[in-house]
Amino acid sequence: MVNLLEVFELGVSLGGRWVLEGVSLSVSEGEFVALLGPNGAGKTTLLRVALGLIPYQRGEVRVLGKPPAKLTPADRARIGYVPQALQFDRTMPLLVSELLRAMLGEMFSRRTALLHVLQAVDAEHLLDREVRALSGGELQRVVVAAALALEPHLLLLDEPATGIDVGVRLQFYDLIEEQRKQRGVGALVVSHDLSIVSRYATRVVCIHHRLLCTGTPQEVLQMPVMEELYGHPISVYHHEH
Amino acid sequence: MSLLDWLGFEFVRNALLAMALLAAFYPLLGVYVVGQRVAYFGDAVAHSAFVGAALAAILGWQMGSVLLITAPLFALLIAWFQQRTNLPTDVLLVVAITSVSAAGIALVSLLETPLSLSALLFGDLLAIDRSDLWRLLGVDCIGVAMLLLLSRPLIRIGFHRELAQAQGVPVRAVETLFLVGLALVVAVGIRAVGILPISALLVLPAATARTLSHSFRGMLFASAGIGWLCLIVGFGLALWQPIPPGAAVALVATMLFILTAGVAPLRKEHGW
Repeated sequence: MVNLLEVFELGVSLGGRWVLEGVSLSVSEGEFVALLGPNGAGKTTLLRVALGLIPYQRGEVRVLGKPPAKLTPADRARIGYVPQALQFDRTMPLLVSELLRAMLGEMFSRRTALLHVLQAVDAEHLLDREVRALSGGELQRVVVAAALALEPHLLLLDEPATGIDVGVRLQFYDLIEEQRKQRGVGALVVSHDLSIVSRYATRVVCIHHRLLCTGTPQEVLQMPVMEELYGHPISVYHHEH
Repeated sequence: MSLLDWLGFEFVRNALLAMALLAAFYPLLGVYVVGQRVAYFGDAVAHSAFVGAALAAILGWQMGSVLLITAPLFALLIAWFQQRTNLPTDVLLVVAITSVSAAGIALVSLLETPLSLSALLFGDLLAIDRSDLWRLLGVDCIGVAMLLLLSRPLIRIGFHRELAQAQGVPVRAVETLFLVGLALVVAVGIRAVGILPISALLVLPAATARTLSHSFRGMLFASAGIGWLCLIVGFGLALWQPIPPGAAVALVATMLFILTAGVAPLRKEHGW
């Protein structure tokens, strides 16, 4: 299987403090890798390094076979990214359709194409709404739809379903599952929702500045280190459709 | 004197043409200036006209031509400092405005033939000549081309800078190009409108349109309409009373903004 993301002995220092030290992981085609760790563990930093948004000091990172700094706009179109809890200027009048057209380009200038994009996350009704009037969950659905629209090969998702209703959340992860199985899409997903992790992840990587453990969801979620990390016993509640 | 009588004078025709060229583009650019949160940057670039005007007098060149060189250079200098220091942007811009104003006024004071600071501060629409009009037309065309090229990336950056960067938008290049374009547009308008009201003309129609619009497209149309209204009413006011046209336009724009901002809560309540 082709490695879409390879991180080897990564070291990242921010403000004189090592946020990540000696972290290694990989995401291959068709894999759903869940990245776990408490708040401030360095999960978002790892994603931002992979996207070339912040530099790293040690180790090696390869995204689609290239260092992040060498990714071309065409390469980046093959990466779907959803950041954590979007903060944006809520005074700007902007329709969802205008935002999607700006994000997706000429191929999606027609209304039917945009409706199809939103259909994937059950959000067609949001097309003519103002972005500033959307709830956090609704906006997250729009951004997720945009990330999936260009049929990416690699998904980098930072708590993508925060604020999204349980039903739509499962629909969203089902969609990733479908893309993973049909098109071999690889995904690195930061999530605190252990039921989602146990249900969809093919592999779990747990970090807290350093690599703590890795394995299948069944293996990792039962490890004592999880209890130490989260400060209480871990149990998984399964969402139902 | 009727309007037709006024039109018999070339300086009035030039002023009207300059006004039309300003109204055609400034309010549209203002929508992106507000979206990128660089309104204060335009103000800093406008203040660099003190230095540009003094240099023009020293070199014996046309002020309009010198500003087209000094304003983009100043914009690039601020952008360079912004990228290489950890200073908050507002602090950096205050430093830039203060230093460039002080340097410019010092240079102006040393000139043998004094410059009219009032014309520099509030513009001299009635002194516009053909070379100024050509410069305005040229920069308007460059500006329209720039917006056609950068509109989508600017919307994406304005929405979420990091997301745009992650998705392959060359954020730094787009922002730098936009700031240089903004500097050119500000520079070319200084002679007509003046250092102080120029930001008002750029930002106020867009800010007013923002409170009235529900879409980006709507904001572009509303800003363009408000810009025309402000310039026509402001120019009429300047012909009627001895007020500098730049200041009159800024006053009208400010009154419209206050009016719409005041009405905004009522509109929200009643869903107008």
